[in-house]
Amino acid sequence: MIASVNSYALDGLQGYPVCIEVDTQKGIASFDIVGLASGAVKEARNRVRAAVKNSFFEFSPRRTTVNLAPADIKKQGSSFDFPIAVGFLLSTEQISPERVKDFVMIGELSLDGTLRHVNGVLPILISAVQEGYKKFIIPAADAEEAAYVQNAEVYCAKNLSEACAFLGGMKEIAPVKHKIYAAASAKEKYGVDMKYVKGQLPAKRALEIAVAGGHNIIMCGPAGAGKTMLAKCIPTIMPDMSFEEALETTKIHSVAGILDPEEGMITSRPFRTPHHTATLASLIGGGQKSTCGEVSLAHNGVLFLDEMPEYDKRTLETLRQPLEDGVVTVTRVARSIEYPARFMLVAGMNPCPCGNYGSGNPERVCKCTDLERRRYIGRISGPLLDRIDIFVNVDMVKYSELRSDEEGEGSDIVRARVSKARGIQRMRYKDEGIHTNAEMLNVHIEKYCKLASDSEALLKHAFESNKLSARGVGRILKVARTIADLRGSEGISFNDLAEAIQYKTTELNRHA
Amino acid sequence: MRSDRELLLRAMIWLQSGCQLSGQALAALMISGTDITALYKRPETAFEAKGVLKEQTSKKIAASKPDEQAIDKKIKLIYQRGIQAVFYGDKEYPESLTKIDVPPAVLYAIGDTALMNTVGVAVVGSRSMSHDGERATVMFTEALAAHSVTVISGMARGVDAVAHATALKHGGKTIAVLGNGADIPYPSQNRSIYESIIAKNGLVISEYCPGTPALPYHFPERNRIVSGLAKAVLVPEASSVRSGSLITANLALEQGKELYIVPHSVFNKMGQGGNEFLERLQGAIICSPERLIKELGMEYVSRSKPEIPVNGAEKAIIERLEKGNAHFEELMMISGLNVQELNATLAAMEIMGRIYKAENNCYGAN
Repeated sequence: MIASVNSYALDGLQGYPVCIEVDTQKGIASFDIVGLASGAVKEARNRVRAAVKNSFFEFSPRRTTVNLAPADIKKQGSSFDFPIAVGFLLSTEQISPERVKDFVMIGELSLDGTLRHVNGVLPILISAVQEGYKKFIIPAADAEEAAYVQNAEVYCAKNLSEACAFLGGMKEIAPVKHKIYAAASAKEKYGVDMKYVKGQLPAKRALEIAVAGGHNIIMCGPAGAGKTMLAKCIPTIMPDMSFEEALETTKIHSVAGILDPEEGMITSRPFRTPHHTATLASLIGGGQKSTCGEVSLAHNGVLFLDEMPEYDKRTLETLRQPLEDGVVTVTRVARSIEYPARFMLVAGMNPCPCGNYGSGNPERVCKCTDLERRRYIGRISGPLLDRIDIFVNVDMVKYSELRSDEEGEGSDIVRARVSKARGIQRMRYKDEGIHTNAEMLNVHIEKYCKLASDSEALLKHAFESNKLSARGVGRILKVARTIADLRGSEGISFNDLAEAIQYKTTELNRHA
Repeated sequence: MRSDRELLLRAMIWLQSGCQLSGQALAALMISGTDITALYKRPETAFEAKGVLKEQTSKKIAASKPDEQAIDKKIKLIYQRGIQAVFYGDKEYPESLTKIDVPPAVLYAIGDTALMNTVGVAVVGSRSMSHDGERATVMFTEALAAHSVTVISGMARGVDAVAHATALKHGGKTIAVLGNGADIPYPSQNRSIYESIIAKNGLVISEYCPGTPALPYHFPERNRIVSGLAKAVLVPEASSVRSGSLITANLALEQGKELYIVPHSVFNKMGQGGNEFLERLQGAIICSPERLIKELGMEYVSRSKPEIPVNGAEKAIIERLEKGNAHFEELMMISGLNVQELNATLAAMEIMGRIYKAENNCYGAN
């Protein structure tokens, strides 16, 4: 008898329905899986056999053929174990077929019949609901993730026998309760806070502006000045993620398999810190399975590159496209997948190879030559530097500052200001298709960054004294817009512009 | 028929690149008035020039046969690049160079050769410099350019490059003396300076045959021309007594030129070479452009700075910075502004050229 079971698979972040057909005939005993099944899918045969037997069903030797339709797309992963097992039981008439066709099933089987976690439950459910599927059976381990999907009836089964009892109508399972999204800020689970960073007032201010407008930022300073510490504080001052943002990010993390099953949802903005030995594929995405890279995992959050010039030059250059487009297209021979990658780039770097240039410490004199310093900075290409709006120097903290009891502003206060500025931007751009000042195009700059005559004169002066490039001017106007938003002001003032200019005219930028 | 001039040029190219004659030997030939075209036609006559050349050198010349093809190539290059050859004894040959120990036999030049006979000051210093060194270079060169003094330097990185660039920026004249063929912009990062010197009617000269690469021993040799051309040598900053710039300073003293050295703080590592000179009482301390111009026997015309109105906070900042550089946080206390206000104020002041941003989030007054 032929049985068919609905399942779902992922291509990138987009799901597609897979119909699993199982046919059992008399003949020489075999268990074949066809339909471009990769290694992990083929191994399902052994897991299914053991799981079926250990769930007290019968697995008598027969000629069994499993087809995964559509048969021309490569199938990966272990999420078909469970529907294959159900299909087998159906075709051998060990369970009744009535309810089976209503459900989409995914899950990996353990040898004792337990349903195990699979990656990408959330994006699968979202795509399937969009396609019109309503009812799902998934592993109990993935219940949290499913709780945020609207318009779906999701049932969680602990093991194969429970699922079969449910399908046969002998046991009822309550559908997963729908959860209301709550951003992480309420829960407060960061170990760091801005108030513990001593001194560094200019750098803190620059970070606040960067976060408020979604601007990319480079922090340049001698080794041990506190760049990494500052960077770690960034998530604590970032505005809460909206449900849509959280969903987008969670989808990516779910596919990558790094979602915490207890949480089910990414509720705080991701802060990704790939090491400087990161390969191109790990940063951008790719590899055999065309998996997503760090830039996508940092979607709606921060990508922090510490010691930026130490990264492989070619790897760094590939950042240019996602920085510009907010998506990254991973193309391999077989297929091409688009992953969202709208992140804020935060980079830390030393001003020279030895890290002591400008440390101001007589014990730690920089021994690098001018050429070495240029080469070091030159590892970050001009086009990449061009995409960075804010350059800030982080200098050594004095001992007296380090040991002072004076606490700076707390992250919650800064975050309140940032959220307000982001709110203003959301309102302003609601019909423009962008979210933040950093995303402004030339038309938007023209429309929203009008200058008074004295500011215009200042900008002209800065441009003519060779401190700015033509492209730099646009970046400055965006940052000035953010500074005005932080003040809650409609217009860009002289001071807003002046402050924005100095973020683009540091020594580092002049070298480049 | 080749003109006499071209024959002379061919002879020189042959002696330089074919026979690999040293600067001393070439100078000896030129000073003695030996007809090098005759040598070129009949190399074996080299032995007749006894007393001028060492025997070994004569042998070298006699043994070498002119490679006409190679010489043709050089000639072509010279015409193509618009290079002029000024020989020792020519009308344009600067008189100042005839007085130095080993005058260059020939100067390959691109640009206005008349500049060599104007009043010039050599501005030389280390390749890596401190912020103060850069400011000193700019300040003095600006004044030189404003008073129509030709700025002479070696187009190296650091002080040299800043000196050339500043002179060009303020419409002054400048001469770059290279340690390689005049057709090669070296170091390549100064290509834009090389090009604008030529474009703006400056002068690039070299005693080396066009096409000659930059070799380490060329630079000390070239320095004698830098100081030789100049009426005085100015060292805005030099890091070590052994540095190239101080070879020029030593040569200036040997050649009897005035040597002016800008003193630096004892804590400025980049300025210790110059300080050491002053310690040995070699060279004169120079602290202001006004003094330098007067020392050159010229009248100093000061440029009046436009008065810009300042508010209370700006005034406090300027007053503090005039005493020395200060950190951002100190300026916050002095001015009573908060971070964003101070950021904006400092930025505006910097753009207007009243202050500058030093290392380590410190600021200084201009």
